[in-house]
Amino acid sequence: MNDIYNIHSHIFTGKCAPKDFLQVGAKLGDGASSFLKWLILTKPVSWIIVKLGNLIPKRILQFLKIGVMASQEEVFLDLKGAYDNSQYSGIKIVALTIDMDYMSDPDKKPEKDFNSQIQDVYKLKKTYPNILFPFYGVDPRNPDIKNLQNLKKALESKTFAGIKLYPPNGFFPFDIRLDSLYKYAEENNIPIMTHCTRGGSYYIGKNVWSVIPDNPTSLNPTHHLMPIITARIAAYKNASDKSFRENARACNLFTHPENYIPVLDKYPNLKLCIAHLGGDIEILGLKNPDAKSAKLFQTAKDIEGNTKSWYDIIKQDILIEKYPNTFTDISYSLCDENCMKQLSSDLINNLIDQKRVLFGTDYFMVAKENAELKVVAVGENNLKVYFPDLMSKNNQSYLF
Amino acid sequence: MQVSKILEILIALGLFYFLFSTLVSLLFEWYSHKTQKRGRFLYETIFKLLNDPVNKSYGASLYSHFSIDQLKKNRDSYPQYISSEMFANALIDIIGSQSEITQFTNVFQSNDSKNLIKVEMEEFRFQDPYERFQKGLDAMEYSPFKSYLRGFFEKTENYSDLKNAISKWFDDYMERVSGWYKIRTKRSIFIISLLVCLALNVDSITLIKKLNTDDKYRKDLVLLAEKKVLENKINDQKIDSVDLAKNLNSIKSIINEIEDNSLPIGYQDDFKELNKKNHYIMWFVGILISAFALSFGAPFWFEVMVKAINIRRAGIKPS
Repeated sequence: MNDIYNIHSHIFTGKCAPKDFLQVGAKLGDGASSFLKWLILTKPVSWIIVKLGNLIPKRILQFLKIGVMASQEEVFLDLKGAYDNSQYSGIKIVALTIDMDYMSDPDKKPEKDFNSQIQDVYKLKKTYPNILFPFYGVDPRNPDIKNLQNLKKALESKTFAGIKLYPPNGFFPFDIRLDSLYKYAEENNIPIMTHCTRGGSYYIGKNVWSVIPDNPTSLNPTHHLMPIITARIAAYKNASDKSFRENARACNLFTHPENYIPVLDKYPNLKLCIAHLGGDIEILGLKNPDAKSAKLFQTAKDIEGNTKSWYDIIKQDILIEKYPNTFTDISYSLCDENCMKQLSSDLINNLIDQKRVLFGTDYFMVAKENAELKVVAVGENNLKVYFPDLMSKNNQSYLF
Repeated sequence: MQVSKILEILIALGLFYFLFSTLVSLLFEWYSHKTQKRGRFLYETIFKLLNDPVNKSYGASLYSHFSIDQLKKNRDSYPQYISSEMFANALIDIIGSQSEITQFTNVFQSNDSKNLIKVEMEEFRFQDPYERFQKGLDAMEYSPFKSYLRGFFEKTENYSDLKNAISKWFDDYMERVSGWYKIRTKRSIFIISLLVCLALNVDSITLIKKLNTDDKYRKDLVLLAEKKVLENKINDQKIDSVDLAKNLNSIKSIINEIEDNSLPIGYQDDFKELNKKNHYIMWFVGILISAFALSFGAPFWFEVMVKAINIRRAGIKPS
């Protein structure tokens, strides 16, 4: 039997996130969100959350229940345990670390900084070498990027199996500081996982425009898309809809899939997975049964000057022959049946290369939507014959 | 007013405040245990001690170290106490572990280069802990913390000396931490004192008035205080911060003691007679004075009481 992998999961705890992390999603000030995070992590409140999480299957409680876990090992074992008694027992888990030290203002740095998060993962890999395949989080604002010393040590010892980028935390994927990283990754066939959906966390510092320059430095400055990207930044900055000038939406500038094309044109053999298929808003577009999401899709499309959806950009401009090692994954989006139906239809009609689609769930982010095995079932029921290859062959070819 | 009367009032007040501040201490200990105030404070101060923004948060590493992690009562708790020896052993191990290299090798099925059979692990580590510590230091980027640790290494010659030096550093730091903890807990103790005073109507002004006017009552309380001091019955209450039932029994015994002596506390019918605004202000001032006094703690009031008794005795001429 072939190995099966969940290519997209997270096992960090609430302590690895900035103190004001709860600003993501909840429209709270940094003071209120810092207080709320502190409150949630206090013993009585986290105890109540865990107890209620066991009694009430409310999704947000399940998500918080994982977030308040004491260690990464506990989170990892929770995920492993979800599969242990199922048909997927023995699944190998790709855990994506994220450098969250720079996603907020310096005074809000996480209690457990990125290096401590990594050290814990080193220990975990030694304990579960056959099951855990972690990815090393990279943020170009971390001084480590200059010589890649820690990253190389982590990858060359095979403790870490790949690299994780999370641009909405405040950097562009074509950032010139990432140039040596891409060069190293391409030369050594190291997989890179990145985030591509309008949802998820984002830079939560007070002034988002301090991390979005009008003319960002690029590793491929003469690329034909750079003027379009610069114009997109200006459009966001001057958007009449105020929400596009605020953190949550302004950070979509970092996430836009077109940002990867200047990188891929410089490093065409880069092994890159643009995760989440672009996200439900972009997969369903105007057909989205949620009118609010459909409206957001249209407004964002107009402001960004997109000629097609992010999903179509991934399918038609990134998963192409010119870039033979590009992939996308169904993580998080698999919890939405409509997204899976759309993907299934595209797979049947050969509108997306089926060898380039990977299986992952985005545990524990997806816990907000449904239980781990239930979201897997949504994917399996809709993708049917394609599903086993997504879990096995496709993931293998991306990973090794 | 006679000096002996002032001393008697002071002794009676000392007894009164001693009993209530013992109750406050019990409640505070119970509250500290339930909210992990002490463990949390220890965690924060160790984080501060091991702060190294250049390399990593060694505080987080220390708390996830196996030996410290095992001190947790349960997954959510923080250890209330870490011995200096345990701290030194864990820190030396954490620094030393930075010199380790673990190499993994993916073993694939022979006919399928991508199908993984197993992952083999090989560890390269220095066996001598003293050398391991040195190599771990070498692996760190320069930082004030590294420089400080390097000082320990340079001033010692073997593992045992290194451990002792780090243990002493931790002990010295913990002495300061105790002082910081006392300062930090003062506010919580005052709030608990205020709540106790409000709940039991512990009004110092009313009490002083009663002690001043009711000679028999005052003398009875002084006799009781002297008797207890002589019998060595009054000690700092031993507080079990874990066993709630034990704490409740202690609290009950103190309240019984207070009731036996008919202290003017609680909301009696005459409290309703405080119908004038000024009376309420005076009552609240009395409550605030009591809360402030109770926040000094039982040992303080015990000392005051003993000293006042001794002064009073010294003043009495032998018959």
